[in-house]
Amino acid sequence: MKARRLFNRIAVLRTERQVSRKELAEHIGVNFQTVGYLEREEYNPSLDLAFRISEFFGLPIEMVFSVEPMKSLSETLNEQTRTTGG
Amino acid sequence: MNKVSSRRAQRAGVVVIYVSALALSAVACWGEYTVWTAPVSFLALLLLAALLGSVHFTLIRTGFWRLTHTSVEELDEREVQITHNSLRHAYGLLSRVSFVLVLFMVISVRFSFLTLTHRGHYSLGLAILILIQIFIHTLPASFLAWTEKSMD
Repeated sequence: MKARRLFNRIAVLRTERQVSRKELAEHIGVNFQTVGYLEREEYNPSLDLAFRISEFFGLPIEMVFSVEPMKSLSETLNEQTRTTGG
Repeated sequence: MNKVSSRRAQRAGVVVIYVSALALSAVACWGEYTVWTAPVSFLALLLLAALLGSVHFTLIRTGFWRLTHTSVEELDEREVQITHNSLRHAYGLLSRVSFVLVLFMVISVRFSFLTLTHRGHYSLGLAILILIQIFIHTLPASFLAWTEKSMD
């Protein structure tokens, strides 16, 4: 079965937190090249690795990974503000 | 070095590995069946140096050798996936290569156009055995060098 493509915000979050690929790789226990593959969405992580990445950024998994192309964080925040009326 | 030239260099390295391995076996057989003259010995040493050099630069320094010769616990999940894929391809290719080599040996002995022993040595048999060993140890890493970016 061919796996569907997973989209993610790893590159944006990593840049925002000023973390290098090597540092992130050390924290989540993979080779730094694997981080590059994840950021380019050329490799789908296992559920365990996806959780480790989300935990590293302190965000819920759905904020980091999606099966649909991800909107920017500001767009998502704007939509949430509208729906909650804040 | 950019990605394209790096991949091209890796592929050229893989070609050098197998051309030098095959040429070395041919020269070793030639040397055993005729005489190990100084030029034949020099050529064999040159080919051995090319083989060892290309294995070092294409497979060991790039990290592909580590992937195929290390415990699975030391690899991350993506590395396990690509290593499994390379081992699967190498196994398929090796089964065909060893079939052809053994068939060649059987036919050569049956029809006596070549013998496994010459001057009391298992010359052809030894050359083929060494060639198969080179194939076994380098094929999975070579498959990775052909398809993947350098691991360093």
